[in-house]
Amino acid sequence: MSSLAMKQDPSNFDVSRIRQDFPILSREVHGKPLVYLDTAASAQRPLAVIEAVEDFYKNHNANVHRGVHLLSQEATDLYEQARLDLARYINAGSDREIVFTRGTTEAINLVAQAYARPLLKEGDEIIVSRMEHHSNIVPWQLVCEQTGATLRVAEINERGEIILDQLEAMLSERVKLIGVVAVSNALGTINPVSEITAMAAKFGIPVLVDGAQAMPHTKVDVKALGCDFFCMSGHKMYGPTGIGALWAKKDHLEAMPPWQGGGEMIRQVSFDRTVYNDVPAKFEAGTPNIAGAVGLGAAVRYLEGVGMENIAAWEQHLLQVGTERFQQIDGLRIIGTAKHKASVISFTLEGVHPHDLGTVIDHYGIALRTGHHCTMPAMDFFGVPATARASFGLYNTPEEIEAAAGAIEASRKMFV
Amino acid sequence: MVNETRPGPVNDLTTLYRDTIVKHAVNPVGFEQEIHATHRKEIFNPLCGDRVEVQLRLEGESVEAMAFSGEACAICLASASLMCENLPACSAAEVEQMQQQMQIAMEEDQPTELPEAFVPLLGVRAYPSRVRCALLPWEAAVEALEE
Repeated sequence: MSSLAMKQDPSNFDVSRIRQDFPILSREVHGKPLVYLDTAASAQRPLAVIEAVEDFYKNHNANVHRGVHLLSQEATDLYEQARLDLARYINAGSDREIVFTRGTTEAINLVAQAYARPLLKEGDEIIVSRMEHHSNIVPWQLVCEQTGATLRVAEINERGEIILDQLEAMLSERVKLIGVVAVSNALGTINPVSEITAMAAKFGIPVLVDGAQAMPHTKVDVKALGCDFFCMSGHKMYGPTGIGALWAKKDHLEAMPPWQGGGEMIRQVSFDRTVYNDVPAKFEAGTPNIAGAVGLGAAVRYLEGVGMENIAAWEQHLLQVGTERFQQIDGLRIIGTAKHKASVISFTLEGVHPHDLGTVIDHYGIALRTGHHCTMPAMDFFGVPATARASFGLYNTPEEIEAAAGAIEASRKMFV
Repeated sequence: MVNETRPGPVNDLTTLYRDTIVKHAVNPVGFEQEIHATHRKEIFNPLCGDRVEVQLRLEGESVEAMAFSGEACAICLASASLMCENLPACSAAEVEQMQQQMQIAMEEDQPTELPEAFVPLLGVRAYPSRVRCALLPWEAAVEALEE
């Protein structure tokens, strides 16, 4: 996925025009212009998304797939249009392969419980990498406890890259699934997903990809990736919170039993026999987050409008500027130096705890994330309890990186 | 307060990072000190991954010595350091009472009878996301005594 990054010339990217699409970027924080470097935690929303959600509630709000009245039909059309938008965006075979969820976490839990749990038995194995987010670790721990299967860990090197030979050596008929993150939220590493799926295919092992961070940074093509499951979150890709999706191969979705029971996921209910609905409705029990899906569809169209290749090129430019500038700061150590990286810089600062750094530079208007980023095993590997993390989105600028670097230097003077 | 002479937004931060706090964070009292502890408790802050182990040596009802270790932010380190400096000679019951006072002062923004030495910690009241950092070593101390 990284090969796209350098194809476009970042100097053609009109970032000041892009910034006008994001109203929140014009606000101040502690009397300073906001410098938002926490896009990996949650991206800001463009007006196109905000207005799509507002338009839905103002003009089309009703439940979906239920009423015969006009509003219900309009709401259904908008909801299903979002599914089509997302399917097109990731090159899915069909929109029927997209299940709306609350986000990546719910999508992974769905696969763990509806796909893995029925087939796992004692002696089976699931593999995840050391750099996974807790949301791609804990659901597998739960399902292993429930079934007697074993969770194994694919190790990483000191740059924060999966050691592929070691992973390959772990594969066997016992392995029933590999879970891997496409782009690490904590380290920025872009993992070679296609290579991993090719390795796994030799043993017929399905691969689940945590795509939460990949979606906003690179063009995703689930067919080219060769994975079986791909999980994503709306709010990481400039859409609303509380909405995300699971893409899965249709054969898997059809073979999997329902996960939650309720309205929408059935065709016929009686106390003798209940017939489940077709996919994807089978996995969407209850009234869904309709406005969220509408906003997510708008986010997809917004990203397509800007062009993922242009975004990737701009973000790679920011990553390069940021890496060079941050390396000049005394005592700063970058955690995660993979050859292929997305626009995320995790770091520690000698003599300054990340939490203190976060509080101090907030007073300069700079928002960055501090903590373990829900990746405690990766933090353990690097021997740090926490890092500070600057993550860049399509709206960030080299001037903002300079402001952040200046504030980091000033913070260090307070403590050292 | 030296920091107040600094230009720009750093001025506002002196509410939180007072000189006393920075001094204790940089050179904490009781840090990794051997005290032949009778009670100890390790506690984690799941929000940030910080870890603090508080140790106490109790003789009868009286806390004779306190020490701590771990990895934590300046607020947590300063809080633990002030505890180690000021709590010895208190009784176990007094430690517990002071922890409750501290919690009320920080979380409920109530007037408090806290000893003067701990007042610099109250700067965290303006930073709700940092209150937990200051309270962490106190919780560890009380839990150590309960065990």
